[in-house]
Amino acid sequence: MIELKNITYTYNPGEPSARVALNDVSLTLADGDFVGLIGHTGSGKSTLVQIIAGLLPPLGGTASVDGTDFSEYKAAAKELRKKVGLVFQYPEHQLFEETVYKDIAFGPKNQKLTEDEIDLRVREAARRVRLEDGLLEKSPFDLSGGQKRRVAIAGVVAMKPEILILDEPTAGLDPSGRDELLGMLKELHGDWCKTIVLVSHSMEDIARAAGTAAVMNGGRLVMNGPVEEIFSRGDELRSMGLNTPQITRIVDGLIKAGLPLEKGIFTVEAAADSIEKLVRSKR
Amino acid sequence: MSIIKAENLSFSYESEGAEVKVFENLNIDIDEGEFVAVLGHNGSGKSTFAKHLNAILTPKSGRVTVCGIDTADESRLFELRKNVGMVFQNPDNQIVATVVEEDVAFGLENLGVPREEMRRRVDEALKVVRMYDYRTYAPHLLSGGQKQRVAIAGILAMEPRCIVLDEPTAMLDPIGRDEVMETVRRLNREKGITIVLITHYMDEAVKADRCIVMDRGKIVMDDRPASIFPKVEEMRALGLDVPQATELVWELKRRGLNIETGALRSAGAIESILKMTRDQL
Ligand SMILES: Nc1ncnc2c1ncn2[C@@H]1O[C@H](COP(=O)(O)OP(=O)(O)OP(=O)(O)O)[C@@H](O)[C@H]1O
Ligand SMILES: Nc1ncnc2c1ncn2[C@@H]1O[C@H](COP(=O)(O)OP(=O)(O)OP(=O)(O)O)[C@@H](O)[C@H]1O
Ligand SMILES: [Mg+2]
Ligand SMILES: [Mg+2]
Repeated sequence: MIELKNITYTYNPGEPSARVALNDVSLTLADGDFVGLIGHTGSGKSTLVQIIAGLLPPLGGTASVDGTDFSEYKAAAKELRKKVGLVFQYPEHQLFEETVYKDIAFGPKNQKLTEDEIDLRVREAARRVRLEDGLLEKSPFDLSGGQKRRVAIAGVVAMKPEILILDEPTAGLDPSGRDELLGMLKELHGDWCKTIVLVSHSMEDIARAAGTAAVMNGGRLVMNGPVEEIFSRGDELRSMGLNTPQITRIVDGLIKAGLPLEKGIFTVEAAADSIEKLVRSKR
Repeated sequence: MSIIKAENLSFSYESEGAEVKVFENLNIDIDEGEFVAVLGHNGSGKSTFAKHLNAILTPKSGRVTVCGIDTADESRLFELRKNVGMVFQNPDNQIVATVVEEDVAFGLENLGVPREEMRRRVDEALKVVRMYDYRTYAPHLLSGGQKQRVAIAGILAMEPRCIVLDEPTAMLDPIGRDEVMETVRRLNREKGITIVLITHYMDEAVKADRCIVMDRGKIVMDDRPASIFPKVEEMRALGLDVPQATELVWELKRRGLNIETGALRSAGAIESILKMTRDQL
């Protein structure tokens, strides 16, 4: 479990170009959470996840890891880096090894695992992100965009982080690639990584994969709760550059028109269930 | 009248000595004033096609003609690029100046447009994308959607006949996406600018007049959104998807309910469902 308290961050502090990115953000990530992190462009999501991952020292605030309080982030950072694996946005731009295998093995090697252990990790991670075995000896540069993205994710997954954070992992993927990726994250969750944080601009993706949603607005964390609760606050979300999934807007419209449907529906499946039940019960 | 025409276009990339074939005898014809969405799985050839429209790439064989200009004719490259504007994913890579209006004027300066004319065009372009109030801002103070609209204004100022957008909303939040889509539609409807929009978002594609679906370098569907999206299973088999509005009414029908399918947007789905419940309850 990680607790961040009163985190602030400013880019270029003291200069005319200073830019406050995080303002008094407190966030707890408990074992078993699957958190969707949403917010308008520039709201501070990428800055926040780098701080959670121990990669960017905040200007102010404290962290506690598994109940141990660190008054200084510097001391916490080492613990955070051990526990958290961060997949950056467009991670495929950072592939560099001559084979897919070596690229995935890079992280586990740095963890000083034995050769056998590294081999197991690489193969297991590749299997989990659904890369065929035949691709392991290929150059990562010869793969399609979707495959490269999976290699990059496998590289972080292979380190078996307790907390896996992905910064807009579905951006630019085609619909079936996006579905596969979300399915894969759901499978990793709980069994391979205790906690997952998914940053996304797609409300539909968050609705499909996450259990809770944390909402950033102008550098502040303004909402945090179960997905159904967050998506029942459509007007507030829209005032912050966000929205609810299209399916939720449809159900809201039907409720407004007088159909007695439940609130808090945010998947097509659930909407169809609820409408079908209504129609069949009245026949 | 046709504004974009690909005739027997064949193209391959050379990669480490090997040939990566993308198109073989591709034919596409787009009329002036059309709003066309191009869909397709990752690697299907969408960006490669887009890059042929302003001669970033030129055919290995066959011919691409845009605004009456053969894209292989190097002597007319300047004229071609003035007529065909390109917008890419990342707004940060497209903005060059430190003040919004200077950024919009940038292309015009290179064209040698006189000062007064330049002023008029920059103001007009910023008004069209609804960013005039931000003309003196530094671009880094803008949201992603706002930056993307500034990038579009820079292209508009060149008064192109055609704008090609390659996943322009991939990095934007939901409202930023709406703003960009609304702007693109308005440019098409009010100014008659031909739009080619590449996207992985099906709810954006339904806003086009026509959708071209690519699969491994070939065109496999080319029709109005109302004709292609109700084919839910075919779209999925192509690695694509349909808007949730379309999926919902399709799913209800599949479960045996007596509902009209074919809705593309929220309002359409709501209407079909209300009609069904009125008829059945
Ligand atoms: N390297 C940097 N230097 C200066 N300012 C920065 C830098 N990186 C981010 N910022 C600013 O900090 C704020 C927060 O940015 P951040 O990248 O964390 O937002 P985000 O929510 O991830 O946005 P997006 O959805 O566009 O990825 C923004 O105002 C941004 O312009
Ligand atoms: N510079 C390049 N060198 C070699 N092959 C390339 C190059 N650019 C693209 N390709 C290959 O050409 C094919 C078509 O790629 P293209 O970028 O046009 O696809 P796309 O439909 O735009 O995909 P995406 O949805 O991922 O953007 C793919 O197989 C791709 O791997
Ligand atoms: Mg970000
Ligand atoms: Mg592309």
